[in-house]
Amino acid sequence: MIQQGLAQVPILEVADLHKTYRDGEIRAEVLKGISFIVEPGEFVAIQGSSGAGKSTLLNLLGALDRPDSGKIVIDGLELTADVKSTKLDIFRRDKVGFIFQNHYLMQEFTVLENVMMPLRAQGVNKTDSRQRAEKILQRIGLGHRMEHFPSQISGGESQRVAVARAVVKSPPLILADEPTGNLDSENRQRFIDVLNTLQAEDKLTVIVVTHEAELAMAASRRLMMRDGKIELPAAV
Amino acid sequence: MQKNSPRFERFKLALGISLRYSRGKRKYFLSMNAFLAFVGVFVGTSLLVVVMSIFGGFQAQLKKSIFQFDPHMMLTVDRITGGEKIAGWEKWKERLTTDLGTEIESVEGNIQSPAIFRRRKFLDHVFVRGMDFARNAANHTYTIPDSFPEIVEPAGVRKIPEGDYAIIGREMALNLGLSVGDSIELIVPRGQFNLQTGVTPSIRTFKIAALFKTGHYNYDTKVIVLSLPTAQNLYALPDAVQQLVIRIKDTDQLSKIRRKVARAWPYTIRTIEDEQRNFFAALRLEKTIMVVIVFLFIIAAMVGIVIATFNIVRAHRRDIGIMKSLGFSRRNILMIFAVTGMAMGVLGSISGILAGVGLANNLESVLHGIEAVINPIGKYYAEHFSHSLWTDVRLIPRDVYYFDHLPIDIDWKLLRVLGYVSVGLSVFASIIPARKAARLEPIDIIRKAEV
Repeated sequence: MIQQGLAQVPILEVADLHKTYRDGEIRAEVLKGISFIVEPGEFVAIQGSSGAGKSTLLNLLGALDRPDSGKIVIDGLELTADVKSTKLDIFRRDKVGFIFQNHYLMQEFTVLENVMMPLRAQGVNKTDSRQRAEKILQRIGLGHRMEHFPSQISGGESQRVAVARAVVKSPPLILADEPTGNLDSENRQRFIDVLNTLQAEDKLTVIVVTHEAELAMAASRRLMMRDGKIELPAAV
Repeated sequence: MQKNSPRFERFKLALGISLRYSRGKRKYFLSMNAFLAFVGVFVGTSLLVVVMSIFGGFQAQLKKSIFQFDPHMMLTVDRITGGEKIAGWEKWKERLTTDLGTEIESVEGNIQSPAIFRRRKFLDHVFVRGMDFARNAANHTYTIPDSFPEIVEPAGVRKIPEGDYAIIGREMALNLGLSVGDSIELIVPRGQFNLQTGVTPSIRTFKIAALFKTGHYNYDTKVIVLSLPTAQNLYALPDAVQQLVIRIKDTDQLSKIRRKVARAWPYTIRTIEDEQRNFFAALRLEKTIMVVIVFLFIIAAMVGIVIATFNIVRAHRRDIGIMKSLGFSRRNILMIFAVTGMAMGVLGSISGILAGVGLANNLESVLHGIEAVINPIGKYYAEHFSHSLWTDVRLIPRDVYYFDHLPIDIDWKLLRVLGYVSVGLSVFASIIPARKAARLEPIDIIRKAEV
């Protein structure tokens, strides 16, 4: 585990996290005691072979699932095994922005409405949400696509919209699960550029799970997962 | 919920999303799923309203024809035949009128007795009813009260001359080829029955003064109406009546008023419901069955809503996952899909009821319109190709139904209940799938979608 040496309050603290999936008789222990800390403004890449538990870890960090034991503290809000589902909702609403492998835009809503959605869920009124969503879309060069529906834009553009949606509410933590997995090399590069720019300009804290070197190289720190545990940092 | 509070904004958002889900992608007014469910409810409720109105109309017409012509309450002194004279009937009439006050329309003395009807060689049994019409001394006529059924010939006349004049039913006149001014003969028992001599028949000729129509076939073929003095004369019962008859204003209050009358009248009281017990029981049973069918109809439509809402939920599983990952609570998700289902049910019910009322009110023109479309086509086919049965289609056959127009009676009370129930059921129907949607776990949706 590496400390950045700055006397800052960590934005994310993970302590001894365990998670086991059960399907009838079969038990699969996916996370076997994970601990690490992320400082504000860090860009962390989690790497590892498939089945190492990367996505499971990210789902726990994103409050999409509960840990069996251990705890996660994001921006002062604690998440443990017995957390209530209403608290999980608040966690997801206020603390994290999620970018999935498949952009996951809502098909019946325009690009702009999709980006407004997280703010509206927080209870921000329509006018303010619209302004903030328009601003972020213009920053990532999608100002001309705002009134389009997801089916009318390309996969690369959709994934950048997904970034805008994750970033628009300025959450303490942004999580991305194989965000470039479905993109061609050109779009992958543009995605990395957008993420990099936003991360640097807004001092965002980002954790990406990826097995792609290009994206991992953009990160300021890399963690390697193997068999449900975090290994020593991968060589730069 | 405070306006502009985050909770209120989330509430507005949920409404907006459910609206979008019912509407589809801005292309149509409703998405296909929502539209089909809407159509189910719409067609169900509107047909129901039409069927109920026609049904109610026929019932009301039947009831009206009976209530209009038959006395609502009959007071007699003889339990068995009702043929005994009532002594001092005019005093009784006064007393009952003051006792019952505003609840009744009239108390009258009346003679009702079987008779034999003769016209040339034709004989039939009929009922003679001597009615207490108001007398106009100046021009020697009797005024027919407004409560008496429609006079169809001479149309609109509400007077008959004094003397041996009779009013007969229109159907009887049609059957026997009689018209106003023709003569008929009545044979009745004269005076009261006597053990030594039996009865002496009385034969007398009457002129037909007018034809009435109640809409009830039995009355229109079997009853001959005379003025009371004429009947008293015929039956040789000077100044006497056989029964006192009461008409009341609100026929729903029949049994209540009967109890009141029973306090004043120590002898036999029969009401119209006693006389027509089977008939009224049949009407009530019909109504009950109809209401049951109504609800089965609605329940079928509601199953449509459940299915449509389930489909909408299934089509939006991914969206549910996304919304949950954005922090939408269970309540928000529940509301989104419940409102989507409810919108279909409520819209369908309300517009269905409105359309049903509109259709019911114009049913006759609609049916005539359909006739006007079918008949020319049938005629054209018959002229150019071959024989066709479809040249003179009548959707409202006059000779089968005794009424000359389609009776429509919209029961607003039942309609209101129908509205409440269908809106209530659509709330219930949409909550079942919406609850299921709310309980989905985001992790399951996202992991399944990625496999």
